[in-house]
Amino acid sequence: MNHRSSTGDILLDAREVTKEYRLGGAFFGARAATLTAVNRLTFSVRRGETLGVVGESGCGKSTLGRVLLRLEDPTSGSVAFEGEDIVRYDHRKLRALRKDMQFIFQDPYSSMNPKMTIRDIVLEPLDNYRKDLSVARKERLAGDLLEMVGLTRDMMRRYPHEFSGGQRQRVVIARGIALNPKFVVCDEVVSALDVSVQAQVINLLADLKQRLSLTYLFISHDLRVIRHVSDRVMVLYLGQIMELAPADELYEGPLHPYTRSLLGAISKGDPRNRQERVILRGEIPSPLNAPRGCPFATRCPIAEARCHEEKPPLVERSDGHAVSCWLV
Amino acid sequence: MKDVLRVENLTVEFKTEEGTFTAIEGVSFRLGEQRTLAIVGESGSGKSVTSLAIMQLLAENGRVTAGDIVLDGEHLLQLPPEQIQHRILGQQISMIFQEPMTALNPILTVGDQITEVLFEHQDISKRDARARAIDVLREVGIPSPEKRIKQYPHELSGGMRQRVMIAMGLVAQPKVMIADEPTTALDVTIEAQILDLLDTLKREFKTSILFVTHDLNVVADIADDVIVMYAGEIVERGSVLDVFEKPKHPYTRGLLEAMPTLSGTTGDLPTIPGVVPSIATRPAGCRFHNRCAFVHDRCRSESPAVHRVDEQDVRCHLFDPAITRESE
Repeated sequence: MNHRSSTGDILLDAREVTKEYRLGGAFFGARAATLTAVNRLTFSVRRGETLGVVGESGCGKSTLGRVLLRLEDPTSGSVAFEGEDIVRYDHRKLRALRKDMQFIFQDPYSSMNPKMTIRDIVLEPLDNYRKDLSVARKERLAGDLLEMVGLTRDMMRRYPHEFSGGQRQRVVIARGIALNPKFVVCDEVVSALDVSVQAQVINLLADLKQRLSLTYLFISHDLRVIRHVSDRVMVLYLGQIMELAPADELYEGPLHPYTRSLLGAISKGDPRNRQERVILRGEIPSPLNAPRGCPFATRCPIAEARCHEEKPPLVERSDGHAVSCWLV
Repeated sequence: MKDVLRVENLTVEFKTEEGTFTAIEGVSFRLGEQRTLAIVGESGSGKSVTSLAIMQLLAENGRVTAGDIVLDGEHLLQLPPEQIQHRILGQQISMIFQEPMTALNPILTVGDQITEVLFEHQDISKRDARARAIDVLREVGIPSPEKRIKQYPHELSGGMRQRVMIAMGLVAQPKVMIADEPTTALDVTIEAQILDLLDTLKREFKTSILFVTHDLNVVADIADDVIVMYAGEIVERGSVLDVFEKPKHPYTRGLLEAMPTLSGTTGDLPTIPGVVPSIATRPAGCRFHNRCAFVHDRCRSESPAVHRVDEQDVRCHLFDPAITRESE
C-alpha cells in the first residue's frame, strides 16, 4: 500500500472539524459536561493514498472516522468530499454519498446479523442502493465479491457463526466494497486477528486498493500495522493532531515529543535490543478534563510553562511534515 | 539452576455436546527460579488452557487426563482441593488476567481484595494486613496508596487496575506468578510501564513469571525462555535469543515473518496460508502440515516427535536426525 499518489489531488478535505458530546444533564441539578472527542482537526486525504490515523484510547480516532463519513454530524467545521461540503448535505444527497464512502468496522461479529446468510450480508448495501439489479445479477455479484476477498462462492448460503474471525473480516470487507466506493474508512480492522491471519487481511486490503483505486483512512492503535499500510500518518492525542507526516519521515524522524514517546515505548521486537524502551510516565488525561494548553503537556518530558497555558498550532516544519509543539 | 515449576506431559480434555476433545496434549516445560518463561501462541493454541490447568481453574467440562504439575517439589495434582485452595493458590502461585475489571471483585475495595489474599492462610492482624497492602500498592507504582485502598475498581483507570491485580498477585510473595495477556488491553505507553514493572518486581519479590501472550514483540522484551504452542502442542522451545534469531519450526518462522516491522516493510507481508484449526478439526499427522511450506508425505500421516537441535527443542520431521543422516 506504499504507493505514492502521483496526482496528489484532494479527495477529502477536513477543516476545523470538531465533535463534542454533552454528557449528563440538568436532572436533579447535575451539571452537564462537554466531552470534546475531536478538536478542530484540519487535514486532507489525497486521492489514492492511505492516510494512517494512530493514537491511544480516547484520542478520538474512531469518532473522527464516523464524523468524516457523516455517520455522526460534526459539532462544527466542514468536510469537503470531491470539493463539496457534505456537512450541509440533506438526507437525500447523503444517501447518494454513502455509495462513495464506506466504513469497515473492527468487530465483524457484532456488525453482522447472525440470522442473515453471508450472501445477504454482502448484498445488504446493494439491496438499499441498487434495487434495479435482477436477483440473478445480484447473486453473481455476491459470488464475485466473495472471490475478490479470498472466499469461495459456495460460502454464500452459510451463516456468520460458521466462519473464523479472519473469514468474517473478509465478509465485512466484501460488503464494504460492494458499491464500488471511492473512500473507505478502516477502523481497527486487523486488531482482533491472529498474527498469521492479520498479514493475510493486510495484503488483501492492499490488493483491493490497487484493483479498485480506493483511498483509505486507516485507523489503528498498532504502530507497526500503521507503518506498513500508510503513505502518510496522523498522530492523534486527546482529539488533536500532534504530528502529520509521510510515514517514512514520521517513523525515522519523529518531531513531536508524543510521537517520540510512542515509538520509544513499543517493543523493538528484538530481544537483544530491549534496554532502549522509553517509559512515558503518567496516564492519558480524561477528555472531559483535557489540559488547557497542549494536551500532552501533563506527560511531556520537555514541557515548559507556556505548554501548560497555550495550545500550540499545527505548523508545517518541512514539506508535508506538520507538528504541533512549541518546542520543536 | 533450580526448577520452581515443572510441568510434565500435561493433557487436558473438554467434554462438549459434540464429543470429547483434547485441548492440550503432552505439554512439558520447566520454569527456573526468577526466570520469565513466555508461552506464545495464537487463538486455539492451548496457551490459556495450560495456565488455567496449572491454576486448577479449568471450566467444569475440562479435566486434566494425564500429566504432572510440580511446584517447588509438591505434586499439585495429587493434593486435596482444600490444600490447593488455602495453601497453594494466591500464596505460592498466583495469576493475573488480561481484564482486571472482570477479575477484580467490583464490590470490594482495593484494600479488601489485597488483604483477603493474606487472610486466606496467613495468621496476620488486620492492621498488619492493611500495612502490607499499602506497601505492595506502593511497590507496584500506585500513587497515594493510603487513599487508593479505600477505592473500588471502577474508580481506577485500566492501567491502575492492572497494577492492583499485580499487587494482589504478589502480596503473598508467591514462587510463581502466571500473567495471562496482562498488557493486551492496555495502550502502548501503559503497556511499557507494566512490562517494566513486572521485570522489576520479579527481581524484588524473587518470583518466577509464566507469561502467556499472543504478542511476539512483548515476548522479545520480557522473556528469558520461550515456548511456542500450536493447536494444543508445544512446537518449539528455546531461549528467547535463539528462538528469535534462529527459529527452527516452520510455524515459528512464519509467525516472526508475518509481523509488520517498525523499520518499514513494503509490498505484501509474508503470510501463513489458511487458519488455525479449531479443536474439532485438527488434522492428522503434524497439526501444522496443511499450512506448512515444507510439508512432505510423512507430515500428513505421522505426528512428529520432539527433536533437540542446538539448544532448541522442535516438534518437526525436518529435524529428525535419522532423516538428516539418510540424506547426507
